[in-house]
Amino acid sequence: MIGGVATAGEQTKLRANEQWSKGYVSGLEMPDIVLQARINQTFTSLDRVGEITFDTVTAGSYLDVLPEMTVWIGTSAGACDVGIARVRKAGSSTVLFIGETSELALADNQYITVLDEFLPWPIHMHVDGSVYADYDVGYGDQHEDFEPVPVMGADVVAVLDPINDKRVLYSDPSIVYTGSWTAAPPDHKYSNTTGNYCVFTFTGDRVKFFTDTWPNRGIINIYLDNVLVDQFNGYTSIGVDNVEAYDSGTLTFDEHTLKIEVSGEKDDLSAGYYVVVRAFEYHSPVALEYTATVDRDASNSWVFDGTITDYAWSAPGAASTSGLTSATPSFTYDTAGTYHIFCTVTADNGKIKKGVRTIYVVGTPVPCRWRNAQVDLSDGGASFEVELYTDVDQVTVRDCARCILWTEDWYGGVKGSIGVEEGNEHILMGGWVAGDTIQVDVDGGSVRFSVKGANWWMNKMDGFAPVLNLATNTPSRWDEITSLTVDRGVWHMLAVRSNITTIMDVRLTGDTNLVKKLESSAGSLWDVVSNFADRIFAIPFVDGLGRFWLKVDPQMVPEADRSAWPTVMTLTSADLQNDWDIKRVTAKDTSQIDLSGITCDNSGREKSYYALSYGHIPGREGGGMQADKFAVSGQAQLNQLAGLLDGWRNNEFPDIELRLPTNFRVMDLVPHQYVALDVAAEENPRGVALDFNLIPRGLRFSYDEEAGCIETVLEAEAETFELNSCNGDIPGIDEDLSEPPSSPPPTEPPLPPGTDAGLRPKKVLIKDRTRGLLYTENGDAEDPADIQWQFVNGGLDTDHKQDITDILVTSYGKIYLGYRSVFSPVYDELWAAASIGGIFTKLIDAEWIRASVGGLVSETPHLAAIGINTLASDQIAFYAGVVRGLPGYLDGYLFVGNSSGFAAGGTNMLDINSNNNTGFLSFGAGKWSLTATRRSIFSQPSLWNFDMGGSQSGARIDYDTYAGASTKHRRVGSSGTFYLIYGKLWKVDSNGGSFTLMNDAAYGNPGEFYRIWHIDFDPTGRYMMAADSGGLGHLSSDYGSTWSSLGGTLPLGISTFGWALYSSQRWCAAGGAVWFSENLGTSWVDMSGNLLYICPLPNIDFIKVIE
Amino acid sequence: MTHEFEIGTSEGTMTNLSALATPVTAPRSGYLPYAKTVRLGDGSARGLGAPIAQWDFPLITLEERDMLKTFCSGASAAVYIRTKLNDDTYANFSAIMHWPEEEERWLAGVKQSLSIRFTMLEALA
Repeated sequence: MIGGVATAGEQTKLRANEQWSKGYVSGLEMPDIVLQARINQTFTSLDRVGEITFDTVTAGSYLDVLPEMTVWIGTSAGACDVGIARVRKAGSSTVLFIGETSELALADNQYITVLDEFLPWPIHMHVDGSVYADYDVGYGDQHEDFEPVPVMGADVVAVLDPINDKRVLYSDPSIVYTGSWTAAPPDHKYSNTTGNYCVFTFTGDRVKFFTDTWPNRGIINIYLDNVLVDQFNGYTSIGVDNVEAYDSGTLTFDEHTLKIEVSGEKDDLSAGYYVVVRAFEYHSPVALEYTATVDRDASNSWVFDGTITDYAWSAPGAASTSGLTSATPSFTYDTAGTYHIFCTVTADNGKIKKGVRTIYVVGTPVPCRWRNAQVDLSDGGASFEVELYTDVDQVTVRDCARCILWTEDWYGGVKGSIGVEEGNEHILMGGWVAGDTIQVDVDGGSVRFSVKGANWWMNKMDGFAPVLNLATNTPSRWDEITSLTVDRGVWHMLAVRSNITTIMDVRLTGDTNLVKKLESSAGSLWDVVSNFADRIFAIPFVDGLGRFWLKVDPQMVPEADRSAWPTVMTLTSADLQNDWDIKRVTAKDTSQIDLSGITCDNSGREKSYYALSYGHIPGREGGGMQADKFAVSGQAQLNQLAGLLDGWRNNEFPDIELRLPTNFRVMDLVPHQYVALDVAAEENPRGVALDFNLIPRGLRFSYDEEAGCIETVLEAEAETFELNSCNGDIPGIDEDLSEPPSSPPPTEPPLPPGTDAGLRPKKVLIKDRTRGLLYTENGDAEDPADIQWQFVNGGLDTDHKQDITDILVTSYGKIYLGYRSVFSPVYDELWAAASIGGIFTKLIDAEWIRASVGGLVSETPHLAAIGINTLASDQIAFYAGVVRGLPGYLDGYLFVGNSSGFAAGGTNMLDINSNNNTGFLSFGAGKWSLTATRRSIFSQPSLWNFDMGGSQSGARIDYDTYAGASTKHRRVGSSGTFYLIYGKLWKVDSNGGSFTLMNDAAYGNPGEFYRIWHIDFDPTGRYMMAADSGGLGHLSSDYGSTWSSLGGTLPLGISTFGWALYSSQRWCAAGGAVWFSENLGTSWVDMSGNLLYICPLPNIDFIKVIE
Repeated sequence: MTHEFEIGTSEGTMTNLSALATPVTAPRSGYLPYAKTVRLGDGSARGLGAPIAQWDFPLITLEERDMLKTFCSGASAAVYIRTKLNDDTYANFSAIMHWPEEEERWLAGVKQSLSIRFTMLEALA
């Protein structure tokens, strides 16, 4: 079992008698010296030193100095009394680049010692006008195209295994040939001369000889220690390679000779006398050589927004290697020592990252006494204490020395370890020596010290109080991160502001909830990471092997997402010592959970949510608990978190301590996993059945020196589940609101005297065809590049973002969205939000329409047209009905009202065509005007007018007599004038009182070959801009009589125009970007800002200037 | 009656006590298959720790004592032994040999009750 369910065999071992262990440590030895030299400079300032000039190299070479190695500075050779630093990048023959420091009292001629050792280090930002990481790394694209993270496994302790059997091939010099033998590489030598022989000399207690059999082979004489012991007939009718011709059986352990001779005899059937020598094998009870094999797996390496494409390993000092360009290489060592392996992973974005791990190859283990070995989720990692008596020079036990505690283990008297990482099952835990705990007992000849995991060391490092922001444009600074999440913030701390991702495996939560900002004023690196993690109920942890994990607390993971967690083992009373310590809480701890959460989209727009658990009425027992600002995906997740937290806080079994009389290394605290408990009521002092999953919180290992066995204490709590929850209350509001209050109505005053007409509009609403609505509130930013667009599609799913057909914004800021479809009218709907940026909710749909017009289930409802009364604060109208008859008419009403309700007009209309009936509705001069096709086989256009209450006013106007007049119309403000567009351009006055052809181009549009796609007017109707179906823009300054092209000043791809308020000269245009003109289209300013970043390749077909 | 008690510094050099350079008389021996037992929640017990053997020499000469001491010059040493199990059969083990912290006083060149403890017994194949 490696990090999963214990196998049946492992469970048998864990429950077996005769369990014992022996403890050892590795890693305390002094690292090799890579470079030894002396400082060759004076320092005018000791502040912010990032490089040191050196000379007098007495050992090593600068070429072997690698980033992240440790640098000692001392007043004598090999000393570090001045201090230590880290190598930040490769240097030169005279310059060593170190992590920026102000703490070292550097001086000329001091001694530099670079050690082959990789410690955890903080890396701070260098501010020198600009901000640099690690002294001189400027921001490029590191927060958009991320570096990958190599996950190579933990540091390894590999014990050399003795090799007692050895195969010696025909060409080995230990085989001495006499006479003429012919070599036949790569397999064998042969001879057919009688009396020719070879002698193999070995020291061992058994030997074997291998040859071939063939139709021309003769008989072999075999002599052991010069005594003929056997003859082998090499003849076979069909050739066979590598045949065992002789096995001596057990001999006395001594030097022996085995002689192979051409006898000159043969089988009668054989065609020759040939003798072939392939190989000898021999065995020795004394090891012939030693070897240790280390297999690694980096396939869990990862990168944000991409995948890993390549692996490149190196293993200096390894005797042999394989798979160096795969995720799963293998390294073999034959000599004890400390080695490093390096893995460079490449992501599909082209970025690379090199990781390093240490391999401790052990020849003679260093035994130790140890105690208080524990991992604890709340502490964040592992710690233990060691006492050494022999085998280690006590002087070399030094601060920050790597120390790994490992064991040889026996279960049921059979040797073998059980652990959570393949190849490292024997490692109990590791860390670095905490120097202040070193105590040398001169009389007793021992040295004691504590070892602390990386979490402890990260808690000693400065966290630099970072502030990280969601990039709403292409990030250009170190404090901006694309799609900022807690994971990305933590990655930044571990990869940019420390070297953790280089020296340790790092695995994060996978949580994708965006956050606008992550900041922490807390002191240490660990505190910062913890504070970030708090936003998603996650906890950082470094396991005993030294692997960093960021995981959402298991109790805060929804039950549905726990199904994949392994249940490592089910513990019964027969697995536990009979001294129980199970805390049971029957009185609730928490009566009510009150959470707030924040969603954030890629444009940085945040929205707050509130949730309660159990609900508005607190429980009978306990006190209230409030927690704020969790990063969530929406109301539903926050409610779920509130319920989960309530369940956790009111855990009936919050503190369980189980003593396991076994070396229980089958599990860890991360990743998420269970241990099940199954103890009957009569088997425990609580007298209640204990039948539930345990969430492990801590593991403590103790070593009984007298018995030689390890025993385990498992600290855990019962698994808890989600309780009732509901939407919470917005602070200060008595009623339960699911969306914020409406924003005040936008003001639309005339341009104030003295105001700069060139000032770009501040608030603009646009629609992308596929991604819905976007909005800016800083269109007037001093630098147009700083304009921030953000999505305002709250409450809309993907279909409802891309199928919008109508956008109506009232003078009070309420926004209505229409969905009309000729092809699927059953999906016709009307939605509204209280303000731009509010949550859209559905007002009407097919069922509503059917019910409102008395339609049958078999009759298809349809929403034919939607319009707005711009003179009212909040009034819209729509025509809707059901399709009846063939070729079909739409039997329905004009409904007038707002999101509070709609009333049908008094006229039941029967004369609209249902087959091609996407109509257009607008309000002006006291009338609602509907243009649509009437019921006829030719679908001719007609105009209907309605009074303000929705009843038809006057007779239908069939204007198909006006050639090229379409049903698509757009009104000039709230006047009685509107224009029929698309084909030819007809001006309609007095709501149909007169029709005037304004443009008569062959294909209708103003002077061009394309049709009019969109048009907008200034309030007077004199100035208008139109976009044609070819993406070109056109301008008219005379009510549409004459037109000029805007193609010379605007890029292609214009889809829509919008008057920009205050002046007839001010216009906006949009399509593949957003532009503003202060001079009626003579020149344009790009207002796209971050638009292309959050909405690549936009296709904007609507624009409205709000303010 | 012959015995099979052996000791050596390697598996291949284990020697019957009676065949040592200074022969040593056979000890009275004890063998525990595990070092301790713990009581479990269901009332059963589990034996933990490695097997332990003990050789007791009620009367031993100084020469015999010195012979045994060559295998354990310090407080303990890794050795190989052949010792008697509880069913009166013998088996080979690697073990840690512990020399007693305090030895009995000598009387006329003879020591009374020397007890040597072997822990971490690992059966040899």
